[in-house]
Amino acid sequence: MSETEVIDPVTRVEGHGKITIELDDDGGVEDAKFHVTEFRGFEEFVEGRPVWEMPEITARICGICPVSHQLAAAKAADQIAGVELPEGAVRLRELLHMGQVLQSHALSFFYLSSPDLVLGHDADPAKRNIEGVLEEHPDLAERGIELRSFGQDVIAALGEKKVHPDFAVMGGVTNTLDRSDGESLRTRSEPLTGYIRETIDELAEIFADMDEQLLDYATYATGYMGLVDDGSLEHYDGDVRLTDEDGSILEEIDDAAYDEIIAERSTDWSYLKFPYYKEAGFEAGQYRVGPLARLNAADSVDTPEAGEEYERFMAAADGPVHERSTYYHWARLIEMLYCVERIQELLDGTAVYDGIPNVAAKPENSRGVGVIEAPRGTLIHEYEVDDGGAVTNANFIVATTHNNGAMNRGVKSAAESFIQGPEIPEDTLNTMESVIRCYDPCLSCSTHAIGEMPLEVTLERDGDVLDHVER
Amino acid sequence: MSADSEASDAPADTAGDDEDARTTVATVCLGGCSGCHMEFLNVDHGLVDLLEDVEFVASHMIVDEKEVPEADIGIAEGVVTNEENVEVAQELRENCDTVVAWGDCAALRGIMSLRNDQDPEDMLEAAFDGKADEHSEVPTGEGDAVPRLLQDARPLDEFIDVDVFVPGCPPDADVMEASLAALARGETPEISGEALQYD
Ligand code: SF4
Repeated sequence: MSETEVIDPVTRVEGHGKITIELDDDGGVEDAKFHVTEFRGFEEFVEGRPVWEMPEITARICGICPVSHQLAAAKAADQIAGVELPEGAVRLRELLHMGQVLQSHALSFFYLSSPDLVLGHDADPAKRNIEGVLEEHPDLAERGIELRSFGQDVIAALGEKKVHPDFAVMGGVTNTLDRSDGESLRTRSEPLTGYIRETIDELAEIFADMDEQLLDYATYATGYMGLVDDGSLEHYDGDVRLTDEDGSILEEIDDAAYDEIIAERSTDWSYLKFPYYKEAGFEAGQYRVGPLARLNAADSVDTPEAGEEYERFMAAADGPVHERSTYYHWARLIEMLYCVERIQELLDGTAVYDGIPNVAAKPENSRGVGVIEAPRGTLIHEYEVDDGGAVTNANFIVATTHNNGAMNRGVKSAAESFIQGPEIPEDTLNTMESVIRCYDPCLSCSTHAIGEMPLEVTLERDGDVLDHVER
Repeated sequence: MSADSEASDAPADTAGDDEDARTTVATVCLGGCSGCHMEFLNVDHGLVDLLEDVEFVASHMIVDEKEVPEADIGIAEGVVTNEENVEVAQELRENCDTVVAWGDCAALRGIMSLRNDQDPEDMLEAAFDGKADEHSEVPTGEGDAVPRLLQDARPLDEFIDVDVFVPGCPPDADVMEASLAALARGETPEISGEALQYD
């Protein structure tokens, strides 16, 4: 019979989830599960509403990456309208998106994960947070605050609000960028690439000093998914590429065909589903998304500084791709560099100031699919509508959902490496959670799931609680 | 209302104890999108000043604390949508002197109440059985793997007494910061005019 430990809630991630670990009679790990404990029902309650409301409503799925949902919904709505967007609208949407990916990655790295990385997994939990980092490494924390703030200000310059801006609509965006706002953002962006590169160097040192077990507790082979544009890293619009565990291309498809390659499975112990690559089946068809997966899937990164860091990153891999979940952090920093450079390029161009922001759009087609690279990975919105444009069916696969299989595997592998016997040391709790944090899961986002991430581990044998740890 | 709390240097307890005389704050996320918490972080560098007067003893985005600890101020984001949210809301009320509802979801019920005209079981059936492969199971909240959904998503004050409402989706960071600073000074925050948002 088995014992169960529960980590509930997992903190310093966005959303609601918990971990349970079942031990066998010898105290070995029999199974470990990451449960997502909130169901929000967006897919169901949008039915019956007009499709042009989707960008505004579905943004509320997630306050961390509202822009990604807004854009995925708007792209799907464009398809339903059958319109081709003007260049200005496309670039304005991309600019909005780059601001969003930057602020979200800054939150993940500096606010949520840097406490473990710079203070240590075994640091006093009361200090292991952004306040502790502000005390011990004020430069690092201040850089993080500035990067996040800059990304949010890019969003606000376009959509007025930082969280839940109403900017992308069916057929384009509401307005162009004011030139003086663009110029002041451009000036403010100057030091940011330097901040990020310094942080990458610091992270490389942290990894070099890191105990191997800690570095490798969540290293495993999976497939990888990401959007690419001519093989290059892409976030706003491109083809969906799925690779095998060596990074060789299995599929490269137009986004509307996503359901030909992906199926989903649900379990009774989590509100988060498990997608998989249909052709390989549920077990073998697990893949990862997000910063690490995108860099693994792409052939190149086409901005100068991020391109250089990408080469350095790939050269550091043990094989053809990176399998270590801990390296998500490194990949995230490289993407932040890419975002800042793309923002600079877009601000230096004219399309965001003088382009046409939108075209007239009304429902013409019955199905639309919008796929975008949200900060945490590939985000898919699919809608079917009736003749009047009312939604008759909606399906969303959010980034965190794609990673569900990998997160569960990571939790299990961490449990196997660190837990023997009926007691759980405090730093092990945090190590287990930090597996989850590598993926930066946005539990709010996983519409099928998630809420709060407290951490509580209960150890049970034959239904009796043997040990229970919480913070 | 003034948003210059960054400069305020006279918090309620000026006891001058070397160890934390700061006002303690616990924040929780019920059925929300984390957007209220995110917007709060938009105080950006203001966080550094705010931390002089206020200590976050629990806040899922930034602090490793799993329980709802005792605190002077308890803040909730999100609507009450499942059984776990009810428990957390009750703990917040028991453990905190002042309870604040942040955002349209907690204060008014917000976007997720769009689900209220559907039966939760039908919704779960449709989402998990209808939109997944043939080996799928529906998480119904039987047992304790996941919390059971309530019939409707309802605002916080239908479950516990709420002292302060800060509406908006999300409320502006300056408004959140100023209201927190006012509470830390022992005052009731005035939210009116432009600061009073409904979106
Ligand atoms: S009020 Fe708005 S921002 Fe706050 S939790 Fe609700 S949907 Fe999110």
